[in-house]
Amino acid sequence: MKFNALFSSEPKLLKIWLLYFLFSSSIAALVQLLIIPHFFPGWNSTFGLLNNGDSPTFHLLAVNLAGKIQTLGWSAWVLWPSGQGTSGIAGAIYALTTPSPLVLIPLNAALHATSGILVISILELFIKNRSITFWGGTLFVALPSAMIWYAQIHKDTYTIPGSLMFIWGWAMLARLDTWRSRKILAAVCLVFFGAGMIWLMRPYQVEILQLLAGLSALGLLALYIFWLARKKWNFLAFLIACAVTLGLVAILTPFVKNTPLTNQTLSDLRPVPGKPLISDWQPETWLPAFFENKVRSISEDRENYINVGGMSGIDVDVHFRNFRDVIMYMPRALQIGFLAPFPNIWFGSGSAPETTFMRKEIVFEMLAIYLGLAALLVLFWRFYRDPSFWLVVYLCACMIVSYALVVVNIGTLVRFRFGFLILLVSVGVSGFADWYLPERENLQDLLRKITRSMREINTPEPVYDSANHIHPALEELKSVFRYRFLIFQLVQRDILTRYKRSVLGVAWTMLNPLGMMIILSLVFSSIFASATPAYPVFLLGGLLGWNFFAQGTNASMYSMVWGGSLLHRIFIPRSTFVFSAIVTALVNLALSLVPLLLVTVIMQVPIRWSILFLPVPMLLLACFSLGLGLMLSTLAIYYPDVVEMYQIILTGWFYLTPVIYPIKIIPSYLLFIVQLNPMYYLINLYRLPLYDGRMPTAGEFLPAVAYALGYLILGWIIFTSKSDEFAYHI
Amino acid sequence: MNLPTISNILANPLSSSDPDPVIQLMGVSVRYRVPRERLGTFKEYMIRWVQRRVLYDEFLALKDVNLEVRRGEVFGLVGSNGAGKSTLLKVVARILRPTLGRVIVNGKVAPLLELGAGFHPELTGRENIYLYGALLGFDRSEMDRKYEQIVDFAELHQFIDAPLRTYSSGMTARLGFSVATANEPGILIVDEILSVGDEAFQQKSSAKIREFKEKGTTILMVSHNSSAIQANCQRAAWLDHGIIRGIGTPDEVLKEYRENRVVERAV
Repeated sequence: MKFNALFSSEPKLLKIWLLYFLFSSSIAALVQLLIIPHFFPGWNSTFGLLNNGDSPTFHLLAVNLAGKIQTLGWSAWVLWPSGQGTSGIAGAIYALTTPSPLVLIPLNAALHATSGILVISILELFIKNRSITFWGGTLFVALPSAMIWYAQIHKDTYTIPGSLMFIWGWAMLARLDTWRSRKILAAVCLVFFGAGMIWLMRPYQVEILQLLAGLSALGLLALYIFWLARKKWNFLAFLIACAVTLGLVAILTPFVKNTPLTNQTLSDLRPVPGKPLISDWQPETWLPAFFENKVRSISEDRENYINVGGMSGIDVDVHFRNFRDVIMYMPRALQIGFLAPFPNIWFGSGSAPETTFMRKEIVFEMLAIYLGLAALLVLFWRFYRDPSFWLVVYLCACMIVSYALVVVNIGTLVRFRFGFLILLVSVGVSGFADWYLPERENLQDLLRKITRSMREINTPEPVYDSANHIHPALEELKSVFRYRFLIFQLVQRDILTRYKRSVLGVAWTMLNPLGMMIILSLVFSSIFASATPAYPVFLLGGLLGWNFFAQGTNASMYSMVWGGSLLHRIFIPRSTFVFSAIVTALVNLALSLVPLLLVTVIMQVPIRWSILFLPVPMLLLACFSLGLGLMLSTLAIYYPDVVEMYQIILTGWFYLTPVIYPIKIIPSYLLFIVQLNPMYYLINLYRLPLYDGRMPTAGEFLPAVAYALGYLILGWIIFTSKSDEFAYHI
Repeated sequence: MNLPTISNILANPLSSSDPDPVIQLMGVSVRYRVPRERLGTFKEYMIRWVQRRVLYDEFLALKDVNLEVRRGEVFGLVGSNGAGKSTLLKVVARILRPTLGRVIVNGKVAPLLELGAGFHPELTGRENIYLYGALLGFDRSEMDRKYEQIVDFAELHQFIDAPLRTYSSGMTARLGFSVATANEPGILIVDEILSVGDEAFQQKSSAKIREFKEKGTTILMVSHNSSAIQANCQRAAWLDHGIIRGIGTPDEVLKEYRENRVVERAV
């Protein structure tokens, strides 16, 4: 891979900056001079500015200001004409040159190129390869939706580099484990100038940033104490760092205090003070007043955006009336902030032909963003030890969420969040490339080995070669297949020995859940009877599924910890114990279907054909339990007290899963917690064919399959990657 | 776990003099990482980890061991306690994967390490035969074929349907030996046995092992009893603190071993 074919050696930042500058200025010139006036004359308002946007207004304000300056002199200049900082700067430039947006192109392009360089610098905190970070920065610069500000007139041209500086500065402070005074100075300057640039355009954003900075500072102080404790720092360094960090939060206060709030009429705005938009706000008494006010002003901003309207509104019927509304909306805001526009509106039409066009274009961008975010998730595993990585992700995520709480217009949201979201995407993409490119040889080699071993799966003569290491996950699969008779024998042993010395024998498997059912039905049926007819059937269905899961995961841990002594003595595929534990539980589950059917008949719940579907949810439940059992037994080998810990978790988990109560009783704002719980889907799927007497819908079926297979694969990989060490630890 | 590198393998080339090695150990090292204090619980571990105080002692149970055992050979291992004999057997039996180096084993290994480890007291003798057979990696049809022979050899016809908890320790050991030797293994690993059951059964088991030897089974055995090594083995190796100090005929190796042990004691 010749990534740096573009450059003779490692590309210098200055060269990259020039490249980005040339790129953005030529694109901007093309858009303003050629594309909009000649190809899309219908979209043109003046000088190649889109008529359905804020740019013409910013331009007119600037032209007015320039006119005033020329007649009244420079004393007429104001930074925020009608509250718009971008027009203040543009007006000054117009007054010095000529009132055409073309003269702004060099400035806009320079700022945009600087953003690209800042992205590269942030990436290089984690990735040392310039030829990879270069492509991360290029992604940031070249994404077409950025044209809306660097090829037009907007505030984002200034706020994006400002935000990036701010983030870089804080990330630097999390990188001080080797002390350098120069770094501290640089970090202070970056945060200060970054905040300043944002303040010029969107002063209220500094307010949010100060809040976030305060929280980052707390995290950093904890980190500094940690470094001090680890003797990486001396006490003086610690004091200086603490003072600097707290100082950086305080330094933002003058910016926050001097907000030029005037009457604003654009969509890039802030509610008018003194005119509360929410008359029926319900304050929380326990919240500090300043915090309550912030939450309230966020809610008012949201009302404002809802009033502005537009075609691409999302959740416009959601209004915040108290602190709890805001908190409950957080998960949804997270979803919107990171993933909107969702595929369902990709192909709709916007409020004007140009916005419809933008919707089509954003499809490609969204696909890239989804991929980049997926890569970012993988990177947590690579960078989780790096505090600066956490800081960058935290700042970006918080900013994205706070915008998603306020801005209901997706078109505007895409612009506002761009710097933060695309920074994360660039981190994801470059981090993944940085990991993948060197690994490519290894991965291809692994693939070859996999295909080879698939062919060899039934070789008769066992040859053991410790160096012929196909991937452990596959090796284990092969040997488990060879030892399938052992699994059968172990299951037989467990079932036989469980009942050998008891009078009722196998009947206990059926009596045990029946007894539980009778007790719980007596206690709860009056409470849940209205929501669930035939409550005992409902209960027993869930209970059997849950018992299977609890029994299977528990037994897999026990069998590894106590049965593991065999692993010292003879070679056995290590996962056979876990397999046999789950299969044993599965046999018990199948046996307990008898009492379940009995109760169903007695309670006169009609039995339908859907009952034939029952083996599928049982199998999925088994896959899920196997996956979790593998993870738990890996942990339990290293730390036996995990077994005890798990009992507590299991109890809590039981009550969080709708087993003894129906899902209907959960208030809608808590539903998302239940929906994160894999057991909810699996138990529900198990209960459907019998109790509800119907097949599951795709929405009920697919999450269960995804959870079951996901846990199985993850558990298998974790288990097999450690299983060679088990014999050293038991 | 480190995989051997190419240079690692090249440094220990296969000796060309050997026509048919069944077991090859090339530069094998096994490193145990022992926490200096026993950290039994997750909670303790987390506390120590935060304090950066999980200290490990590294302990090499085998150091760069090179060894070849030929087909049909009876190979003995001698050495004092803790010399690494059992670790070496475990590496061959696939229980431990070497930290460094490479092991190649050509053929099915039947370990006679601690007989009857997989038995369950509540199950009958018959059920235990099948369970133990499965643990050793046999499938149902193989066990069906060998079942009569196993019971015959163990001389347990009357008790075969009684639970194992009613057996004497001698009976249990006999059953274990019978199952482990029922299928003719390519490689037999013998760790301090030949003292199973009463005297009659001991003779029987020795005869069985001799029979295997004649049929061409490779046998790897460990014993403190040097006369057993001298009587049975064609070659032997002396292992001391994880290092092979000598390979040769049993007489040579045992002579050297005895002399040095005396010196060690004198020191």
